[in-house]
Amino acid sequence: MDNLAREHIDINTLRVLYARYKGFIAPFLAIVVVVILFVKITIPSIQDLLKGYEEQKVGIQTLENLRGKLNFVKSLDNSNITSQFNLVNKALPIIKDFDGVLSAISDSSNKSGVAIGGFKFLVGSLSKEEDGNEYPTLNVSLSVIGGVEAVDKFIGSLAKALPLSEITKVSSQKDNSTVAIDFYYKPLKKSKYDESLPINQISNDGLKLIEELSTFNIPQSPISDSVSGNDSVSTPSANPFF
Amino acid sequence: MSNEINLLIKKDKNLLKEQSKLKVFRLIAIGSLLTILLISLSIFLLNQKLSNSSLKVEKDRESVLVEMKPFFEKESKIIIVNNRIDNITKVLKKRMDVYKILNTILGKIADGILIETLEFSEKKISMNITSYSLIPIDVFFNDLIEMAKRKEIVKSLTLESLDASSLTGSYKISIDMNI
Repeated sequence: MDNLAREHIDINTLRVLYARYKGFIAPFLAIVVVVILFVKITIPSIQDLLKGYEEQKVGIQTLENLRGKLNFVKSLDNSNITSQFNLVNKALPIIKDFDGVLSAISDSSNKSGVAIGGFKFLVGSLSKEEDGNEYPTLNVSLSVIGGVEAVDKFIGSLAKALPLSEITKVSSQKDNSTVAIDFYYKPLKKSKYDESLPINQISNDGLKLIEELSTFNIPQSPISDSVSGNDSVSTPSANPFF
Repeated sequence: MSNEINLLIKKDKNLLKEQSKLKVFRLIAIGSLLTILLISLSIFLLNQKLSNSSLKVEKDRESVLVEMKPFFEKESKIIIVNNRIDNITKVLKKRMDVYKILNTILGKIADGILIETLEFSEKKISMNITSYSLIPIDVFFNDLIEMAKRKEIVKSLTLESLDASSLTGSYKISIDMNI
């Protein structure tokens, strides 16, 4: 009986409270709804809006870069950039340039008047890229007919020939010598075309280097000449992205 | 009659107080509703404006890309040229100019000295030289010692052997250099 009475009292209390505060219920619910809307919808919307503005800013920057690129590329002299492209690719090919290496050896031999006995390529993998080596090389070991002076002449001539090379070993006797040479190459890294990146003009140091390289012997390959009549065979595809 | 025992007046006062509280509460509720409405409307309008301008930027980007298409090859060439210049510079800095080294050392060989053998590998040069006189050998040695002192190409110099042949009257010398 006591429990029942207590329940009646509670219900009565609630009734009294409801009657007293019923006017507050609707505004209270409205405020609760507003708070929920603000937290769940308005704040994320504001964040989205700000993100949208940021993205638009990036988009405008990209557009400006693209316009800058377009104007810059339009202003480039095609024949000039092509010759620079061919020259730097002769100096540091993107692949193992056997043709270029043979031409450099043959040309250096002719220019120095030193006869080459024979040579051996240490090629390595033809299909895989050389891992872990920042500047891979194509190793050639050749025998030079002659002593120290002949080797010196030959090396001197090779030092001014493209592709770039480095002498790693010399073994010279009276009439016969052996020279080991590393011919450098550097594969291009695969990259995705990023239109937001600006193109840099060739720096002054870069232009000086190109000028210096143009004084090097650029052996004309008999192989590519016979194939196409120009030197475009040994140069890589101009477009690594498309 | 005292107000304190007048229950009716007290009740009215409380009622008025509560009614004013309710009024304020309603005002806050309506105000917050209006505010959220206003904010939502502003966000909507700003979003509209943003999407319109983004659309224009995107259209412009596409038209510039179309305009650029014939120049992609040129663009790639300049990118590759810059890449090659960067790498060539590094290679030139890294590589050892063996021609210069050998040329400098061979330039110090005085008349009357014959180079029998010369070995170069791994930053080390070994030479066997022959001469019929000790004078040119002495000149050559002094030059190399000077170079080693100045750390010019030669970092250290070792005389491995000096043989005198009474049969031929020649001196045979073997030297090692670290470069």
